[in-house]
Amino acid sequence: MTFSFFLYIKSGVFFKQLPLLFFTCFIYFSTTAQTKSLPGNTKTADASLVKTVSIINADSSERSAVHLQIDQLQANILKIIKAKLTGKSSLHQSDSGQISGAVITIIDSVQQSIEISLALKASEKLLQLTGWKLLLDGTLYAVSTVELAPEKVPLLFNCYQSTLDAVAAGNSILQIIKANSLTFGRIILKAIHQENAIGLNEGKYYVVSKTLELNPSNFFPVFFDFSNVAGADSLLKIAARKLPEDLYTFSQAKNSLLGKRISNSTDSLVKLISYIASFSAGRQYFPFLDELYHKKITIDEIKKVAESNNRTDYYKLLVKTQISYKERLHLNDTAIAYKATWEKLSSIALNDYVYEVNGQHEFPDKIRLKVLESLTAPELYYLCIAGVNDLYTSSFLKIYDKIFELQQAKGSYHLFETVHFDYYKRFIKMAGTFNTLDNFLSRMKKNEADSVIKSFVNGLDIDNNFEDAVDVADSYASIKNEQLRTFILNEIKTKLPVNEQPANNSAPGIYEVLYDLFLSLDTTNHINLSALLGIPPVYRINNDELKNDSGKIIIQQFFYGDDDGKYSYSIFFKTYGNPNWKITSNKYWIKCASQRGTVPVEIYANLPLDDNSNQDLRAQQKLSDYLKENNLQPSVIIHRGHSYHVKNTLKFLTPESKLIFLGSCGGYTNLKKVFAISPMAHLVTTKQEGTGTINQPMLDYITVLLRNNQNLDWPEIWQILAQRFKTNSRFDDYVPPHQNLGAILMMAYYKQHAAVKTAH
Amino acid sequence: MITFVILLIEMHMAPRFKFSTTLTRLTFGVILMSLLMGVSNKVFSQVSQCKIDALPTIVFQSKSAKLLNSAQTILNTVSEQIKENPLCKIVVASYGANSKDGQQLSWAHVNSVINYFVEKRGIAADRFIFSYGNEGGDPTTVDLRVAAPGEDGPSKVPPPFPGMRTN
Repeated sequence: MTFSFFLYIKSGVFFKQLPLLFFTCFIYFSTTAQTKSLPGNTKTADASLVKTVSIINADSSERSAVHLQIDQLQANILKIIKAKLTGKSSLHQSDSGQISGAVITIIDSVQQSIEISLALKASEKLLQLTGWKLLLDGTLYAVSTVELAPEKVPLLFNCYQSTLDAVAAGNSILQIIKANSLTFGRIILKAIHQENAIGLNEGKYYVVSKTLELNPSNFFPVFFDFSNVAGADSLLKIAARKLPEDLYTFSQAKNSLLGKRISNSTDSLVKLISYIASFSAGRQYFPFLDELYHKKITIDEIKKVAESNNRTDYYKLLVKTQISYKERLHLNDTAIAYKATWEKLSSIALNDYVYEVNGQHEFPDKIRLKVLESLTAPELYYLCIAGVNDLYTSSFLKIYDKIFELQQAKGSYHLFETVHFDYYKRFIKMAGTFNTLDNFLSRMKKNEADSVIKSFVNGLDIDNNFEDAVDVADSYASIKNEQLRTFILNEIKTKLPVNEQPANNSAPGIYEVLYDLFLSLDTTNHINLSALLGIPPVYRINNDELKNDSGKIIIQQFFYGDDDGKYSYSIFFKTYGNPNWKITSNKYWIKCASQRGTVPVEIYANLPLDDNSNQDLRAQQKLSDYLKENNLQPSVIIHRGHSYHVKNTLKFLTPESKLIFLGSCGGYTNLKKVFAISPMAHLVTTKQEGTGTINQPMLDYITVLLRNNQNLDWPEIWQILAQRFKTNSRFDDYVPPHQNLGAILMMAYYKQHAAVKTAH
Repeated sequence: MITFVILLIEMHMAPRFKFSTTLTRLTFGVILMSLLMGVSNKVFSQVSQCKIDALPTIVFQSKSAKLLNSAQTILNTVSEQIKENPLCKIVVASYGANSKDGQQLSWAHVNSVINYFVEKRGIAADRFIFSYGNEGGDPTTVDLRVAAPGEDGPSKVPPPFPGMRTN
């Protein structure tokens, strides 16, 4: 005790909590003083005290410990309730106070009534207190997660008390359990210590089986608590087919009741999962569970590839298995642990291939692509699918080329057939994002391309399919084949509502918006998207919109400290090194102020300082801080670097960013980030990697327009630039704001969203 | 509540011992508080339904993400604890936030540890939370700790700077 006290003092916590200690001692003394000073009370009080002491004499230290635990749990629950209810607009401050008050009152009175009870024996008191302690344990856990809303806590306590009353009265508790939520049931049943309580086992079975039915992801944690429930073996059998992943994990708890029950199961699938889970490399075997169960492969056959040093063979086996599972899925036969196979395949694809190819992006192809050497076209296809959010633009393009080097005359439709159209929409989307969709579709027959596209544009009006709609919009813009475009347009047309007149005040459906978007690409249709979708003009930005309060246009360029960034910066510096611009600089950034023209334009760019020590990021931050402090918020943001740096540039966007040059932006995810911050921004992007031979001249031309107080009329600018870059095929990869259909769709979506929000 | 407990203990001890002076009472109160702090910390660590008490730190050689034999031995022991506690999620946290190669190495450290647990010890990847590039710790170490109730995160994240390769 003394040693513990010494440590406590030494830790410094003592001094922090000194005021609390004095407060506690003050309350302690005043309470004892009050007890003594109560007139005529002393004897009675002393008598009852003596009686209480004699009752708890045998195990009061145990009870004291439980009281302390209850107090601490109570405090922790209150802390979480307070944290969770803070800022919850649906509740008033008083509601929050009521909930906390109820927690304090109920638990305090329970502790006191148990303690002063003359009817309870010491052992019963301890059991009852332990029951409440268990209830608080469960409550704290559930309220810390999303399982239990803080508002329900007092109700849970009352419900537990009713259950205890039912037990004491010899009534069944089953009805109480059934009348409440599964979370209540689980917490309450764990805190019932009377094993002979009527309805206890039925209640447990009800909670476990209902959880399996209604909330399967929570089944094993609940089953872990009640694994002795009657009927457990048949529940295990169902769970093995429904939740093989969880069964794998829980079977590894060999010393637990549930672990023992699993290992004693006679069901062949439960046994197989439990057997695999006992291997030290069990996770390497688990993706082949279905094949093993159906005896299409043996443990030894998997072992040869799973535990050898040749990871490629293991990846190949995963791809082969994935394809066969997908084939079965078309016949409505879902393989057991189908998800685990894809997850493992995806993990190996990323770790062993995608990160390798990305990581060596500055090396020649001979080195960079060495790791892909022995892979077939379908195996490469799955690298693209798994790497949807990770592949650099250049990595995708290299893998894409390699697929068709191997695929040769077999074409792209054959590739889809080989993989049984597994994730084919994702591949089309990626091909659209990286401007290879035309090429991909040209590698199949017309009727094949039509059927692929037809299913690609199907089902976009189903709830939560907005992301797919953005991908379709994005992909359409990258198709140059007129026949195919007409086909898509007609396909979309068939999905328009029969009645052309939309109901009053109803927002247009997704197909109606897409139809208008696609028509707008043909200028002869004279579609005014801004008017039609109720969004700001997408064909032009007025010069005035980009000016700040002082009439200046502020541009911020982001450079990175890798070789590519340093090179881009050197071109940038040369471009502005002429009498039209005045250059000033400091150790973090450079400022180019226009000396000609009628509108002052100031371009700020961070220096591409050492990237390894993050000095480039530091320079960007310093510059951004400076601009903010001096009320120079940029209206034009220009990202100058690899696609993998985009996520960093996006951090600096503000609602004032009106025109954003993003380079290769990588589709929906980045668009979503941009429009969440700046919902009406104009975006200039590239479908593949940007190139300095276009970037700088394009930016130079645009800054001259801005300096001369001209508006940015995108169709006109693009026509002039197309003429200027007519010998540079890379210009085709650049997308101006009025043709960035995915971005316009997103803009319309945010506009609609904002309108709905305002209406509410 | 604390008062109530002090009172309870005093009542229990009353026949044998009397707190006759204010100083004695004060000392007893403070000692009890110190015990309470110790108990409360212990109690708090138990509320997560996870029965793993403490987990070790894994040490790497400078600029390397290769697991040493000694680290593998530690991870083997920890694996058994993790397997026996299926309700626990484990946070695998590494340090190094100041430079790109530091962040990449930090990522590689966590990746090595989680991969070892998954591929060599057969534990499902979703039992782990991947946390790299933290500030303040030793960049040659990886700390393992039990996730707090409700704490969650991905078990896999892409490398921040794959071009900065590690051993």
